[in-house]
Amino acid sequence: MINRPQRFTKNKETVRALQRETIETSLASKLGNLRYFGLPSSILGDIREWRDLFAEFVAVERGEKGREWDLQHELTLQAFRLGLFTKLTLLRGDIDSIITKGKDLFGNRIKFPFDVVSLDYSGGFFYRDKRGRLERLQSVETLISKQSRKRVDFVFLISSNLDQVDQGEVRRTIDNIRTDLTRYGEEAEKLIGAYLKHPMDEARLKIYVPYFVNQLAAKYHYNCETDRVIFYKGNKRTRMMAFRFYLTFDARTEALRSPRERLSQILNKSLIELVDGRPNDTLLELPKLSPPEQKPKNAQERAN
Amino acid sequence: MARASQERFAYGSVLEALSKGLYPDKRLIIREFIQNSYDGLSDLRKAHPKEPLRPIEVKAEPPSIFIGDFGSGMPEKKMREYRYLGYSEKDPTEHAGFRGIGKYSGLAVAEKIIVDSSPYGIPRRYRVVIHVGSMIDTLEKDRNVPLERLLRDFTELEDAPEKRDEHYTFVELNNVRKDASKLFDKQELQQYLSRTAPIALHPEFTYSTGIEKKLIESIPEYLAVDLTFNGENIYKPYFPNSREPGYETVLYEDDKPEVLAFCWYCQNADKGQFEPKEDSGLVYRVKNIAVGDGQLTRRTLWKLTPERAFYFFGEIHILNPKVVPSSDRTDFEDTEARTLLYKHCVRISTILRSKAGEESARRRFDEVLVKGNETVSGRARELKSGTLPVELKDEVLLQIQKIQEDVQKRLRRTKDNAAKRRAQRFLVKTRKLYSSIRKNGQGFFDLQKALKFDRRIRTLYDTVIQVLKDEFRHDPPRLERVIRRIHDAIKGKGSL
Repeated sequence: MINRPQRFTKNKETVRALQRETIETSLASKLGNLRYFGLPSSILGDIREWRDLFAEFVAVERGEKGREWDLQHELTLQAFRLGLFTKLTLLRGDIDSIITKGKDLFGNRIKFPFDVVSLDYSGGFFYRDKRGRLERLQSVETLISKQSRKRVDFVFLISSNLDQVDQGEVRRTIDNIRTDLTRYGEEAEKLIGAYLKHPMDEARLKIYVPYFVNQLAAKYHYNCETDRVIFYKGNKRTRMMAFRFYLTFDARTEALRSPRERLSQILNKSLIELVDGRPNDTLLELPKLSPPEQKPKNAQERAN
Repeated sequence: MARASQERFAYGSVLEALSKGLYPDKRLIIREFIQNSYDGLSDLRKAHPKEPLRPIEVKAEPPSIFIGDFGSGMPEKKMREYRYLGYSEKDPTEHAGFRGIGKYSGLAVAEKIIVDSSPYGIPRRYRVVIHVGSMIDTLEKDRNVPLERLLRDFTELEDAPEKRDEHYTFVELNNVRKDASKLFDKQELQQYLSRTAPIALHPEFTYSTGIEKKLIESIPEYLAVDLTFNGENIYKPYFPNSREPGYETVLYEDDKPEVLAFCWYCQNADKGQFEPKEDSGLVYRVKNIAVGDGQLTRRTLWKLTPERAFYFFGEIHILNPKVVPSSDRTDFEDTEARTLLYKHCVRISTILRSKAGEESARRRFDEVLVKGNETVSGRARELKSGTLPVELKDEVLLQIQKIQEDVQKRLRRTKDNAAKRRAQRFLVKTRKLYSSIRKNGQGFFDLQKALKFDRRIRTLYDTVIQVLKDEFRHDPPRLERVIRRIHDAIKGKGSL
């Protein structure tokens, strides 16, 4: 049998619809003329759903080891069937390596910038290379830096499973967030404690990934707006999360600015849980952080 | 008997010989697959005339080359047979490809040949993979592997469900080898496709619609497909500086209606040959796919004045199914049908040679008229201004007479009415000038009178001029230059 790609679940379809909303809202003036870069899978899942929004697709497919050609061929066939063949450029190889080196295994170069970057990883976000480096996180930084050289705004979509969450990396980062929240005093302590103790990785990643992207964005003159984080069960009941960001370039000053999106905004945003394709709001019973204006300013006020 | 049944009569090296030997120019391989796509579209049109025909899509993106069409597709049986070498049920009278070898042409360039096809009306798709690289590796270890084993072990056929309304064939020449990297020269491949593929003339060419219409009327089942290469539409090349097209039908016999070939041509509206040569001349086409180039018709049809072959561009569409292109389509198979074709098509070159001759004469006549007009007008102006030396009177008369004779001679031969009218107007003007010079000779400059030469000097001067006239009688322009220099020199002494 031909290596048939997996069918997508109702949850995945809803994720695509929500991602589409983000694209349509953020890039309203360029719809129909957008450039895509990402991992659409050999069935061209997101490209198929969003094809009316784009003028060009640059798709990366690594294929299965030893039979790389199989899924790569399937991807081009699907593009041909859908009438998207002329709009598609296929880059062959590992996405992280392609982003870092700027070219695929056959020397085909990536031409930045893109309007939408959709990294729909089949694995987790915390993939480590042979040297033990978190290669995926480094390639995200390279990507943002290369986009920033072209000074374009873009929608950045990340989806990954929760198979190999690097607990050390996540917990250390949440500890850093605790430092950033010192002005909130005890409330922050409680809140961070709740995140760290929470039984679900989804809770911690809900702040880890947006925090990570916000920090990188700021480093490369981008303002980052984070849409609500989505979590759901994918194929074979795999736990999945999807993140949506809109990065707008801002180079009014050479000096870098702190992320404009406040941590409290990220923390207080509810998540979207998808069950059978239906979205539900949830905070996973995590506490919220009071907005700064409601905080007592000093001991006197606190006493009152 | 049992021993005999184990004998194998074909071995792996045949594959190498067939692929490399047949396709010295690797671009021919792409044409083989386009030919298959064309057959798929042609079958679809015959079976379902209302189905719109979508373009053949060709894409060269390292490391692969893709050729896809939305034709009739291939059912399981055909896909199974796709793995067979030299097996084809295609009818040479109906299809451009029919030997069952072309599909293996990819052997010469790719690591894998991957073919997907979904047949019209059947909700399944099939994939054939030919693992060329593994075949070659095996052959390198053992040159005498039975062909049967190679084809069985290194080809696969798979299937999967597909939507009922899908119908296509999609080929990937996967991982094109380094020695074939020329195929990724986009400009070169684009030009090649433009010259050979069964496509339409460029819509910007003034006469394209008329020519296509005539081809549809004159050639049964004529089909020009749309083709894109890396997303760009590809059309046949054309020359914008062309005269209106002409058409010739070549019959098997003059008194019988069966058509052997149909030709259209355009002549260069400018002087001489079309450039570049690669796009000029007439090109044979079978099923609208080129066979050879302009050099082939030049070699086979233009025995006399071969340079005139490139005064034209156009096509000769062969309708005789017995005229079969060679595998590499650089010529036809050497058969009686080919001999007959070449013999009968010589008529085309005869007609075109005569047209080229007429065009040449017309162009020469134009030049003669323009030059004659310049000369006569120039002389009239000189007479009016009184600057023409009287010593040149006889020469000027002779000059005008010669021009008149030349124009009259060409006028008798030309069929171009506009040129005739212009020539007649010119002759009236010339006759007037001639008779005015002859009768009264007014308007010439007489140096002797102006300087009031006495009799002795006059005799001396006349003698010198007569000697000069004798000396330069075969070179009137030089005589004129010398006399004018004498005038200028004397004028320069300040005597005037």
